[in-house]
Parts: sequence; C-alpha cells; structure tokens
Amino acid sequence: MRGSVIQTFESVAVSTRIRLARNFKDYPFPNLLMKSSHAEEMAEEITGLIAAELSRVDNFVLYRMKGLSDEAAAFLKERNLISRELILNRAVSAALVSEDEIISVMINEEDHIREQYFMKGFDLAKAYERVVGIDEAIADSIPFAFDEDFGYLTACPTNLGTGLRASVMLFLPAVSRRGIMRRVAADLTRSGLTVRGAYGEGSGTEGDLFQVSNEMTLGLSEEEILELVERAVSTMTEMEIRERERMKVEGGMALCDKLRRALGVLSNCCVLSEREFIERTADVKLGLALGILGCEQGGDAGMSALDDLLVAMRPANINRLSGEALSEEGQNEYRAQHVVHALSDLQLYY
Amino acid sequence: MLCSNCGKNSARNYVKLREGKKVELVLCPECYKRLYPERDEGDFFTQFLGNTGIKKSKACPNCGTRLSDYRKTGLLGCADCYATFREELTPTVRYIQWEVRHVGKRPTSNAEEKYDFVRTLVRERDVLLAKLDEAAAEGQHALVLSIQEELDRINQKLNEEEEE
Repeated sequence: MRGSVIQTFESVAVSTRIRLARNFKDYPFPNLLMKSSHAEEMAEEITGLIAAELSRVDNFVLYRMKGLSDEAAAFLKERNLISRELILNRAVSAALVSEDEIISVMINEEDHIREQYFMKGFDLAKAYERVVGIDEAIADSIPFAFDEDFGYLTACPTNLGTGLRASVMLFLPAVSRRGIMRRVAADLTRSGLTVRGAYGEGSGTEGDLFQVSNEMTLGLSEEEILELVERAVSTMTEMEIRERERMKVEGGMALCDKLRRALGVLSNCCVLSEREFIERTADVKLGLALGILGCEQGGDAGMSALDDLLVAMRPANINRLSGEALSEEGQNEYRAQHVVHALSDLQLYY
Repeated sequence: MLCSNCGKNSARNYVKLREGKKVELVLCPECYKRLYPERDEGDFFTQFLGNTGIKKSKACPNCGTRLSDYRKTGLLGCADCYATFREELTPTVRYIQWEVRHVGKRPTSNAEEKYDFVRTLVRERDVLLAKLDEAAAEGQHALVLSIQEELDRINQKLNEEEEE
C-alpha cells in the first residue's frame, strides 16, 4: 500500500533537550573538587543542598554514582538521563531524576549543577519553561557563580553566559543519504549552531539521527538562543521533507525493496545486533515517513513507537528488561525476539 | 601523517572545543578551512593563550589554578578564576563565544540570606545520618529513635524554610 509523504514536524524532530549549567560560587569546580582531600564531604554537601531544594518541586530519585553499578549507570545513560562525564566523575557525582524520567539534575558533572529537561517531540519553549522552574527552585537558597560580563560562570568557557544548551534530535535520512549533511553542518556552524551524530562525539550517520544545538551561550539571551535553534529546526525539517519527496520520486523499486526488506528482517529475525537494529529501524521509519510502509495507528505513531524501541533495545536497557546480565550474543537474541513481537503489535504493513 | 578527510595532503593537528570537550582533528589546512570556514586555522589555545605572554607563575588566589592548568584541561578551577584571569581569558571567550557580554537572565533571588541557614541544617543532617547508621549497626534502639526525632526536626525546618 502506498501513502503520501508525512509532512509533520514530528516525523523529523524526535526529541528536545534543554540544559542549564550552574555552579556554586564558593566550591571549587568539580574537576578541582575531585582532587581535594575533602572531596567526599564537599560533594555530599552540594548534593544535600540541591536535593533539599528539589524535594519541594517534585519527587526525585537520588542516584549517588559511586554506589551505582556500571550496569545501572549505563542504563541511565542510555535513557539520556545522565552523561558519560557524570559516570567518569563517579567519586563525587550524583543525579536527581524525576519519577517520570523527564527532568534530571546532574551534580558534579563538568559543572556543579546541570539541569536538564528531556522530552519526546519538539517543544523548546515548554522544555525551557520546565527547566527554569527547576533552576529557580535551586536558586532560591543557592547563590550561583555569576559575573556581570561573563554571566553564569562555568568550568569551561564554552558554557558561559546563559549556560543554556538547547538541543533537538532530528531524523534526517533523506538529507543524510543525499550526502549533503556536511554542507548543511557548515551552514549551521556559520549561524552559531552545531550538529553531530546522535550516538555521541564522533559518531557518524548511525540511524540517520543528528543532534542540532546552539554553540554559543554568551552574548545572546535565552529567548534568542531558543529562537535560533527553533529556526534551524524548522529549516531543516522543511529541507528533509523536500528531500524525502525527491527521494520517493527518484527512488523507484530499489528504494521500495530496501525499505520493505528492512521491515521483513525486523519482523522475522532470530538474531539482531544493535548496529543492524539501528540501521534497519531507520529504514522502516523512512518507509513510514515516505508512505511506502504503513502503520495501523498512523505513520507518526509508528515512527514514535520505533524511537521508543531504539532506547529500550540498547544493551543495558535489554538487561534491565530481561532481568539478566546477558552476553552480547544473548542480547542479540533477546533483541530479535522482542522486536519481532513489538512490530507485530504495531501492525506495520506495505 | 595524511589528512583524515581527503587522505591526500599532509595533515596538521587542530583542536576544537565541542560542548566543553577537546576534539583533536588531523586535517590538511585546505580541508580544515573548508570544514570549519568560520574559524581561522590554528589551535586556538596556542593562538590565544600561547602568544599572549602569560606569566606562568600567575595563579588564582582562591583555588591555585594556573593558566597553564587551563591550557591543559580547558577547564577553570573555580568562580574566582574568571576574575583573576579576566584579561587573559577575554580573547579566548571572544573566540569561542563571539561575544564577551552576557545579556540573558540573571540571579534575582535573595539566596545569600538563606544559604548559610540551609547549609548549616544540611551539614547537621549529614552528621546525624552517619550517627544513625552507626547506632543502627550497634543495635542501640533508644539512640536510633532520638536521632530520628532530631532528623525529623531538621527536615521540618528545611521544609519550613523552603515554603517561605
């Protein structure tokens, strides 16, 4: 069955993340704090102060990183709730995570406080508003390091000023596969933005997912930064949808075959590596976006469900779901079984 | 060493900052210029810090961080470092941020007044929690109860403070 190319923002913008970086004015920044002979006491004090303020905003779960297993830390990282750096700083770091896993406050990452709001879909204003609520609650009794010229002071000058990083994860299969991503990235860089692969620093085009965020944090107001990222996302969404339309027109049977095969593999496999899962899922999502594949609940809903599956099928999440510490081979078998069932429930068709 | 992009020309090392992390690039000058057209070529640490005649002995009076430490890690040691090295850091900040003047949100609350009070309570609570673990491990039930009462009192004070 053939439908038309999906024209919605949601078919391109996968998730939104807003992060604010803040520091206490009277403690050494984490990189130095860690070397102190009083590191543990200071870290405990910082954690206690932040936790005390946050307890009135929402129910937060406190994770002290040094008491957390590698597996549990990897689980939180795969769910975008903590960063690699927080794990590296585990002697002094902690995370406060809201029960709905939307807000996380990382303590003693690169800065004392990293407040983050992470949501599916695209809504920078809402995400920012929620982070500001957290920021103001913490600021109620904690005087942040602030300078008239440099704004909120951060351990690295790349985060000075607003301390605001607004990131949107974009699914850009058509732009990426056309080979124009590098040019697009250069254009974005000239506008004060940056784009990188979704699976971290140096990652390539895996899953056709790219994260666009503001590079500059100083000299622009928070509203101007949000507007800058919003404009870039709008432009890239339009570009991606246009490229998808072209791709569908030009792709012919070869494209149709590739996307249907991806659905065939995911629906029938017995062993599925993470890499293959990411690649084939990108093809199935593209099939839905182009209307070459369909979903009983609608193309957008199908794509969204597949995005959830991408997180749920990461290694530490599989171990949590299965209740076992599986080997890589075991995970590949578990992933295949789970994906086959999930796709059957989703009722995808061609 | 050949350029990691074109694989033809001989490469140089460049350093870029991405979300606070140093990324090393091995590129020929042509590719670097093409991929990063918004920047002049060159290692900005060297460009801005290496040539400013910084005295190596200068250290932050609060945390002891030297500019040479910053050059190695890309990180300052404490809030006071910015005041100490303002002159030397300003060109770097301008290079990274294109601007050196904050125009966004600023702290508005009267946090200073509450800070010491809340911090004292949190410190007291940490000490009591350690004592509670000890008393529980030793099976001193009466002591456990009295510590718990004390903790309740502190938590109540913290909540009252927060609600004000």
